[in-house]
Amino acid sequence: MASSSSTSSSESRGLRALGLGPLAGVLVGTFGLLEAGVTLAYDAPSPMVDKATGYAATADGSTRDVLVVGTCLAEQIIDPAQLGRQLGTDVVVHDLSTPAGSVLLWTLALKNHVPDDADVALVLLPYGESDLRTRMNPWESQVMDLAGWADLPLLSELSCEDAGCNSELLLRKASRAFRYRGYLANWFWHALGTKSLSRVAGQDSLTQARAGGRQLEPGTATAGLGWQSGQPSAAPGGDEIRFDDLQVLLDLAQERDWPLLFTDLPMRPEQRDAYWLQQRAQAREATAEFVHGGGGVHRSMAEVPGLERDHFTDEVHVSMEGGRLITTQLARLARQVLSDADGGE
Amino acid sequence: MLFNSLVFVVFFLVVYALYRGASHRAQGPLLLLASYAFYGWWDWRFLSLIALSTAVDFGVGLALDDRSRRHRKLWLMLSVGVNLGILATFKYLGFFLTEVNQLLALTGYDGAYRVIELVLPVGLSFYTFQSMGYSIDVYRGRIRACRDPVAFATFVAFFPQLVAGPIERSDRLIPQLREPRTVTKGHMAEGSHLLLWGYYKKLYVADNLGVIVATVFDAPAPPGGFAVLIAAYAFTWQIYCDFSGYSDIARGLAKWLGIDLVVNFRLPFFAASPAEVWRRWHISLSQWLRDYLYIPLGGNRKGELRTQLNLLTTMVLGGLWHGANWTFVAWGAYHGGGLALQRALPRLRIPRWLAVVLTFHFTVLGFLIFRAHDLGQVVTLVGTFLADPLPRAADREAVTQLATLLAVVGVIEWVQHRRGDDLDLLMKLPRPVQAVLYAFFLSCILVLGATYGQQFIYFQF
Repeated sequence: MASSSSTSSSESRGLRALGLGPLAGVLVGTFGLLEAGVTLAYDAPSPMVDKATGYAATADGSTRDVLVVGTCLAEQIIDPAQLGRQLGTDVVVHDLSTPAGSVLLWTLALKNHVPDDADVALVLLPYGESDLRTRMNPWESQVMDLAGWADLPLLSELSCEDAGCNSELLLRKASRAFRYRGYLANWFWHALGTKSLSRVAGQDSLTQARAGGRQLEPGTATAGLGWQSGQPSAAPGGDEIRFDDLQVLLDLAQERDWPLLFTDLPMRPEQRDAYWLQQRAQAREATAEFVHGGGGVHRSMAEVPGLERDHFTDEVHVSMEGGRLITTQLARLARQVLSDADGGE
Repeated sequence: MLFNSLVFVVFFLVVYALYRGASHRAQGPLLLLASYAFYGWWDWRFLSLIALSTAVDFGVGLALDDRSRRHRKLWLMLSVGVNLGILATFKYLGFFLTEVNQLLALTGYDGAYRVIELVLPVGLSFYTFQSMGYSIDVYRGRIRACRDPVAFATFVAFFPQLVAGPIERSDRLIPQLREPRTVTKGHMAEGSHLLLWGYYKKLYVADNLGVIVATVFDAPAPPGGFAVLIAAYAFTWQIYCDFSGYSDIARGLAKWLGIDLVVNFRLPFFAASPAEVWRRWHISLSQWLRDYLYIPLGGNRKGELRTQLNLLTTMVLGGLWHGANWTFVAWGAYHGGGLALQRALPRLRIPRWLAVVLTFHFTVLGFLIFRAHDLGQVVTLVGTFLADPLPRAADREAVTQLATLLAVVGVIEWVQHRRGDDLDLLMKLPRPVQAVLYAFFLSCILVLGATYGQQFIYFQF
């Protein structure tokens, strides 16, 4: 029999391979040590979690809150103090905008970190040109930090196309060592004085090269994680806006009875050709239509009174004066929504 | 289903639990079912190709087993025709038509053929060769036909080695599939060692090296000559650790099932000549090519010139086996030329270590051709290196990364080579040392290994 011959041959070969028991001990011990080390000693950077938990700690329903949610663009442009002054003394503005945000992240932060007894008067979502198109891997550590176990089916439905993604979700939720392994790897490589060797999931570039652009084996398409669902809309840059995540956010707002105000942040004029501008307008219209259909409000800030080309420091970022003008315009739009909401009540 | 995916881990554990609980009679159908489920996970439709290849070679084998039968050669041609036909259709048709169209365009003819874009079924080259090899063996009378359809179908589709080998011989694998198997602690311990070593090479070494490689090979222009050299070293080790890692995982899984698969790599970077490279690199393919192509072409029995031609032909076709791209043809021709030159030139009297270094660099240049997107890029990369070979400050990072990734695997392989190419060396170390090494491998895999299953390079072949 092959097996017995192999066993005797392993003995005759002088092997003393570690048995299954000790090997399992090594496995459990190594993983346990890593997990314990990460849990006790590693504080992963997670700005959205910090802001969301910070808000959750203070929100007790004693104030009417306006929450500003967005990416680094909103964080840089919108001045919460000015916005608060311009909205009046009966509301308190909380800035939950963070760099590298996404609709999914905002949704999870609002869903899991806004206490039930908080009095949310308005959620403001000033978004940049690509913000609504930014998709995160559902197992990103920030997403996992914000999501509860109960959110995993939702994450899976939104972002996972295969069982590999689902199992990755489960593992990252269950293990902090696994969740933060990217950070740990970065730390390791930086300690050696080199760049990180991180890479995105998906098809190996050699595979693409060999294929000469053709798709190879089923299941290895470059899309990799597959964001293909929902109702797409053409957007500048040839990408498509997917509304799946947005739908969840709109549903959440309806369920919690929060007014939502989406505004597209202005861009430096004459930077793009007519075709691009037309595409952008179409994308804005599609987004507005979708938001309205879901019970939210969408107002365009493509034109902001007083905002000129010189206020832009690059294509999308603005000077302090530019920020002041945009915040003023945002306050104006927000006041209308607040007033409509109050009137509705 | 990738070996480095959690789905596969779950799949294997389920299959394994059922396998251990099943009687020998039930284990056969279970392995076949598991193999088809494993393959069908990508796309169940391609199971029809495996089924076709299996049915044809099973039938042909039975027909050829009767040595008094007339038209035996025709039966063999049926097997070769079907297997190569599948391979040609799915792997080479698009490439061939594209090249024909380009030729026609050069002559000014614009009635080009429509190129059909077909998805390349994973592992096609491996299982068609394995299945076809069986029919040739029966034809030659080396083995008797297998009369057990389940064992034969499992031989063609055995999931640990289905998609990237090793290409098994029927006289080795089929008896193991037919005979009762007892899985012992020895099997499992050896299998576990192979799995850990294989995953370490794949997830930590190969996938991370791929990032260094991509910075040069996938860049619009090479950043410098020394960077090209580093990337070529990196790719040589990447493809080795990727493929030998896969082979080790395949062997480890098979060991858990009580089955021995052939050793596919034997420390290839310690070869001291081009011929020795092929006795150490992808051994199952080089032996297949030797037995089913080189020797039938005449081998070295028909004079020196014919031998050289046979070597070149075998290696070019071996290169083309890897994929429909001129870089593979050039890579095959390069190695064929190397083998031919080795035969033609007088034996050099140089120390073995120097021969190893020279052969390693011969291999590295080969893999530069292999990895390049096209032959134009080969010229660009080699030209960049020759024009500007000195290191720059910016290259320090890549050198550090390369050295870090290769330190352990390099030292282990060097010691293995020094101990008479002893691939079992790690399993002979004192157990506490093994435990520390395995904890190190695991830590590297868990923390520094690539995330979310990177494709094995050889899956595309």
